[in-house]
Amino acid sequence: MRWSDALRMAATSLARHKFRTVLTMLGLIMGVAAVILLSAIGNGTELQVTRSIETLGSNLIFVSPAGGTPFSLEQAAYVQRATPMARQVVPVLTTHSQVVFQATSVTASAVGTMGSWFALHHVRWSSGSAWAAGANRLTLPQVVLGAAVAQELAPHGGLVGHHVTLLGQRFAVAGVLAPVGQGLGSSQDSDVFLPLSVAQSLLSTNQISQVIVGTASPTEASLATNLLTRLYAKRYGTSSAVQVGSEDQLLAAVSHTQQTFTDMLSGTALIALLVGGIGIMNIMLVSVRERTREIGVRTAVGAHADDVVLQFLLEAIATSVLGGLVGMALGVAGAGLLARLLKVPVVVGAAAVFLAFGVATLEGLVFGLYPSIAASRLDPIQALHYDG
Amino acid sequence: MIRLAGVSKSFPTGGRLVPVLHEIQLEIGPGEMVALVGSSGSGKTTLMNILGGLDRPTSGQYFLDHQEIGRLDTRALARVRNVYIGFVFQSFNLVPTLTALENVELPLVYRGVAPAERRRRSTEVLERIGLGAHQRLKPFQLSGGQQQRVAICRALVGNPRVLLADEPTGNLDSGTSAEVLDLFQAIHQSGGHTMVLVTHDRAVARACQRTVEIADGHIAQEVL
Repeated sequence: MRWSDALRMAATSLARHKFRTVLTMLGLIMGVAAVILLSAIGNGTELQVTRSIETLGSNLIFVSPAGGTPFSLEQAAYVQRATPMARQVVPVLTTHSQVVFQATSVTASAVGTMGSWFALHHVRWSSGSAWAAGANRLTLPQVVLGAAVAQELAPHGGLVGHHVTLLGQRFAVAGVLAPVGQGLGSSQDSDVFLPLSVAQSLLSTNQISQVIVGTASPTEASLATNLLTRLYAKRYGTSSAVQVGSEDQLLAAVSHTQQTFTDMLSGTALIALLVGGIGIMNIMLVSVRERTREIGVRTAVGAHADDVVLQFLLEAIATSVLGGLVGMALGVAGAGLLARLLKVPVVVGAAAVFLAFGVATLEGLVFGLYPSIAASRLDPIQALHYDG
Repeated sequence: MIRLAGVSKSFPTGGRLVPVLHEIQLEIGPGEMVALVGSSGSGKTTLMNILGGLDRPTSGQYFLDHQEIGRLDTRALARVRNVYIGFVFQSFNLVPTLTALENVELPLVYRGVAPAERRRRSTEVLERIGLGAHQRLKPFQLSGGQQQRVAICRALVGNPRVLLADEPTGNLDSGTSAEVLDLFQAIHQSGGHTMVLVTHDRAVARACQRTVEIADGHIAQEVL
């Protein structure tokens, strides 16, 4: 028999048993679509986490007092002196405050800091900019609003240049940050930023809550973390007076968890795909029984057992390839739809698409083999007189 | 054309071999038309299966056109069925999902004949038998007599030397039976095929040149 005839025969058979063909493919279609869709959701979430890591800055380390250790701007100078790999050192004083604009008020984290905070965190501006240098005098206070705060105070925007009140003081809005979304921990979206000196004088303190150190790379950040931990332990005689930590380790752990989550989702879908393959075997075994006489006839007119195996195997493979293609289209389309409707981030990975399609095709071969061999082993004499 | 030399066949049943054919000696010359008669269970169907290359003798030799069939491997045997033999069955055995034309084409598919040539030859045979207008129909759209004539076309399309028919009129009413029998006779007269028909039907047996009766696995009598 010619190959082209074998292929034509398989195609004809599938086309003339449409309902059975669709039924056979159904499990595979859903399996392939599920693998693509679920891994796309997992990848999307992972991407979101990675982005929030980048926003927070994995090159950053945080130095904060513990157990009542006095912590003033002098600490920032000390860190600057003691850490050669520190590119930027930014002191921060954090508190909570009501922010009032006309009749609206919202509670926010008030962050007193330097203008360099914005560069350190690679912020993007929705409108306006940081407060002008040299403007941090009490007579001319300026403030920068996080995206969520600005949104709540004035849903239609246009806050730059207007006045808001916080910590009992009127401020001019210098800029509004672009939204970064809810990542890990607190988001800068719900923060308001004011010059550190203004914050200190409004709170009547010379203390700060934290020193943020910017380094050139995660490696340097880890080096600086170790160095500062040692220096502070020596300086205070205990390692519990000052906490030095890079958020990188935490973020790496979260990212790893996310990866595991994606793998688990895809794995579950892969099991569904395998179960779909068993459906192929099931329906093909029924089909072989149903077509027993046909197999007898084909043998009588000159088909060899190998021709019968080839015929049924090609039908199985064609079914699985077709099911794989439909599943692929469905999975990709479903991912697009989900992204649009639910505003969920989805990333369709080529690896998942090829894996799902490859597994589906392979399943046609593997699960089609047994029914095909069973068909070829039928005794032609009995097959010709089979009354199914 | 066909020569059986001491052909025996036994089937394992309930742990022992039950003999069905005993030492059959039979010669059928080229172009002969022979009726194989006998009660059910006499062994005539088993003999037919051996003649058709669907089964092998337990002992003895079967020569088809001087080739010993028992010695062939499965692939060569499949080729013998394809090239030398045309089968017609009692229950027609058309593939239900294929059209009349596609059913007739089947032997040529397994012979590796190109599609266009296959179609041409199949159409030609169908037209010769008077089914040219029905070639696109599926078996369920055809009457019993039409189905059997499609099956005869399928047996003829490969131009085999031997035509074997197992109760070809067994599922047909008497009027249709007569038509099909006429067709077999016409084919025999024009084509020079060697034909063996297993039958209960006296009319069919009468139409043949020679009748071989099988009883209990032996050749009981031959009527010329």
